[in-house]
Amino acid sequence: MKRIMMLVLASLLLLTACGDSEDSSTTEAVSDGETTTTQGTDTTAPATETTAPEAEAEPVVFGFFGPLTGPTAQAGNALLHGAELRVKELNESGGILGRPVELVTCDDKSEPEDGVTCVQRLIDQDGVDAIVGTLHSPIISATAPIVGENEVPMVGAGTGVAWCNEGHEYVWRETANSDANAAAIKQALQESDWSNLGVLYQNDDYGASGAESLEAIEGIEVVASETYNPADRDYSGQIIKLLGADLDVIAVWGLGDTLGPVTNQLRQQGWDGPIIGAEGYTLPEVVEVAGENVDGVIFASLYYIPEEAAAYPEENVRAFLESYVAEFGELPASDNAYRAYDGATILAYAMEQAGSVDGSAVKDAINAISGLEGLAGTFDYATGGCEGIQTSKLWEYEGTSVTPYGQ
Amino acid sequence: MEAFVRLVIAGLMAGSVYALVGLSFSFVYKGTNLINWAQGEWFMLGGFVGFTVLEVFHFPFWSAIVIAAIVIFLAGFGVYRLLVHRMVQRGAKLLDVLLATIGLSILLQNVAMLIWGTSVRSVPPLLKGTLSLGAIIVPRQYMIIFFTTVVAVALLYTFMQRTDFGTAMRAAADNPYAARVVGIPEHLVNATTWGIGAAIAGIAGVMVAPIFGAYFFLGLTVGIKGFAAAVVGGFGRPYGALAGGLILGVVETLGAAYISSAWKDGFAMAVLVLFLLLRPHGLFRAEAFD
Repeated sequence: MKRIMMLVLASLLLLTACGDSEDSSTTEAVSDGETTTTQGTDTTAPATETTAPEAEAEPVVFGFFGPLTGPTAQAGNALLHGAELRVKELNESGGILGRPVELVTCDDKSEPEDGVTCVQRLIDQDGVDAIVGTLHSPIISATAPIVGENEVPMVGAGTGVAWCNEGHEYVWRETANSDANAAAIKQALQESDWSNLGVLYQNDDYGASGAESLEAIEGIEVVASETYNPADRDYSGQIIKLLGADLDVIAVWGLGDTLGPVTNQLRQQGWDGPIIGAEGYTLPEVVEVAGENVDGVIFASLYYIPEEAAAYPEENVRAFLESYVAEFGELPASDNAYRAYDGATILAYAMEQAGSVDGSAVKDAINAISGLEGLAGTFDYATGGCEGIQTSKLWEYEGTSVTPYGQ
Repeated sequence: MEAFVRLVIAGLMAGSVYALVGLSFSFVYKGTNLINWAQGEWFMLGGFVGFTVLEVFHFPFWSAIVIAAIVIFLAGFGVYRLLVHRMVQRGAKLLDVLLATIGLSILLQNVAMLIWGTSVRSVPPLLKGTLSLGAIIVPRQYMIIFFTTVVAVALLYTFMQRTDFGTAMRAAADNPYAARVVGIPEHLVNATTWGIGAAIAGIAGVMVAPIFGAYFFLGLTVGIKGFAAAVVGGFGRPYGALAGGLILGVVETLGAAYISSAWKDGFAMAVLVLFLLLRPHGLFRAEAFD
């Protein structure tokens, strides 16, 4: 009996150690910053054969780290898939500088300590030439000094403004920061007929900086403002207080996994009016959770996830989505897939321009980029420094479908 | 004024969740003198079972509550038989079982992640829209929550007071030795206690799934607040936990609205700490299993 129980417990433990969640193929759950190496794409199976351009040439090693488990795992895995797809495409077209590209991954579990451990291992043990970094802005800030010290170029997916202003020489943003999204939202609010704004924001750097940027808009006044903790799911208190004020529009500034319940509860408490929010609203999970309640939500984002690849208005993004679906069997779970894809593109392009993978040379090459077309638009680091793209676009939900705002 | 009333109602809604989870903590403790740390995870799993029943099989809402109650009951029963019973037989005490159930809660979170994934799963509400009582607007789904809570508690009370098995459970809790002497199967009774405790938390999970969604991480905070509710009510006093939970829910929601929404979780903990300092035995002194 005791032995049987031991066996059952042991097999349960094994089960939890190697997880494969239903709707996204996760990499083997790595703990304590251990890394897994892949050749290109499918990371749940042992290294898949890709057509390596020169089997004997020493590979260019890209490191990747991001939240592959934990509350932001959906976005983290989409981020990884974006990078994987780009690496696969690079290998299919001859690699970088004629050398095959390898992708080494690590799970930061949304924790700064794990992010730091990941980056240390990627650099010290895996000898990466460049890093496609996480979507958590605080973790990018925490790891930027390390890549700087080691002269390893890193592109980051986070949209928090701070880390591009901290003077790090070896980090660049592969998307627009939340200020760009905030600017687009501000413009929409300014040009509208609304005068009273209510704000509901997440209680962290991301939410607070978004809320702050909403304060100073001409023609519209913040008459009520409430915050919520990211791990909480009951916002009834804050929402009821918010709805006590006379509002024309409510702005919600939070991350994807909270936006669904927030939108639901706003509607459930009787708010039928417009809701305007940041790029978290691109997460398909939000529509899954909130359903028809997203109708009337306006959001700013460089890109979004359509209901099907063919529906996307821009051709290069359509092509990306079609390849993504062919490779992974479903549309991306988060727009982070676009970000990492562009990030890997930027790194590869810079290496080709520099003619080498030497960190310092690649850094100079990135800083010289101007006019590089990506999924997000046209990247320009020559004038932008750490920021490659500084404007965003506005979209609106009609029912559960996305249309460009104002059309 | 309307805002205040709406807030109190919303607080009672959240409080009903803490009340049921707290009730399950105290129920298990009073019945078996053990603490199951994973009650929050039963709540979380109840939500997921509800999601599966409603969104995958498309059964009606009330069947989801019943099915979740049965499934989670069996899970709780199974946990006692397979894990706790053996530990107790080897002389494990409350602390040992508590530690084991901490591990169990992590296991259950991961099992949930494995089966249902890492994203929030949503369940459509049974009653959509809002109810207007004068100037006060209340989501109709709240009615379901209050109704379910009252019925669950009433059923529990009836079961414990009016059925033979319930009487046997109360006897075994009162005096295990005497119960054994008269032939009450103590370990079956204990397993049933754990099962019922789990089922109550599971029911709470289903009823609020339309509002909170089902999410693998949800059990952690709800479990802690449910535990706090049990302490406030007098640990081991199941109906005290109901009062404790409602108080916590209202304090938390009012605090978030009027003092600071950033410290919302802190209010529940502040109430807990206050009680531990001033009235550690809780609102009602822990007494016989009733």
